[in-house]
Amino acid sequence: MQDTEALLCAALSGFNPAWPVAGDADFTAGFLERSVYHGVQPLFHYLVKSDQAIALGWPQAVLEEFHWQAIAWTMWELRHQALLKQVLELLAGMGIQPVLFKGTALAYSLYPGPALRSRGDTDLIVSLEDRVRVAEALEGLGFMREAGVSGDFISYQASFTLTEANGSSHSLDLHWRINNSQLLARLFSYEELRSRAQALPELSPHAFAASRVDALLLACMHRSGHKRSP
Amino acid sequence: MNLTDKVTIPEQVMARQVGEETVILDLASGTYFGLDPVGARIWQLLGEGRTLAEVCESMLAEYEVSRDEIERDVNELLAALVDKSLIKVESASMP
Repeated sequence: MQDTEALLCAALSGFNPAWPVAGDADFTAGFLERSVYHGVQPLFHYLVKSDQAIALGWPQAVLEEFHWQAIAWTMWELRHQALLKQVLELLAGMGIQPVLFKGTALAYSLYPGPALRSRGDTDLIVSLEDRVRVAEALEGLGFMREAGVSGDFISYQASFTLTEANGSSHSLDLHWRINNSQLLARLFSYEELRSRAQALPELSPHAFAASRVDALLLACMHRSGHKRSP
Repeated sequence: MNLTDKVTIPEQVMARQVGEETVILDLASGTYFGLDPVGARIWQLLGEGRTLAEVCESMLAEYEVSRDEIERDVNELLAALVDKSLIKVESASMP
């Protein structure tokens, strides 16, 4: 596993590594599995030129898989973007200004294209007072609230999923506190994040994301949470 | 298809650059169609609302190619796109 991750790291860092083991199906399968785990297949396809990779011995099958995944993620992103625009416009009309954070916020602020930052959902935080109205608005758009624990001291977030006619599904994680841990939940309030939020004009005129400093701190907090309960 | 025909692109069909390739994606059906740089230029001209004759004229001005070749290539590309419902062709003779 270490070799495959080191190879991924080197390729994504621009070191142009050669494929180390020709004809080893297990290594190839392991490499693809780790690239899916880290969600970097579209980014790899963007950064690594295929003719150069072939000259360095990279298997055609690996490059083709990354090519198809890049297209699949582009398709998903376009659908997800259309949905987010609809949600953000609706909430803006209600006077509600959510703050996006984690994957979608980074996809639209740090990456050359949002489809390069693969992710499973979009995280947004609203004020404690607005959470019920936002939940109702999402349900009005056809989102289904996923079963989960509720109660002010049990959970500070709810997941909503919309499944389109073509089977494509899109999830939003609605937060009214930044973390479910009692210890960390009050570290960043919605109001604090909103006061420093940055616009995401590529997504929508109504889209705002946590500032880069807040995004870094949130990433550290998120990672520490995973270390505590992976 | 006739050279005076006009092509429209449905709202749910979009083109994006994916790596070194331009791809046309139909968000409703999930259809994907890859274009080389010449195909991508034809798509761009179609997106600007040009007729097939105007597309061919532009391609003739930009590439070293004969009129017969470009008209044949544009027709082949458009036939493939129509087949996948990625464009609609409006006949100039239609009211």
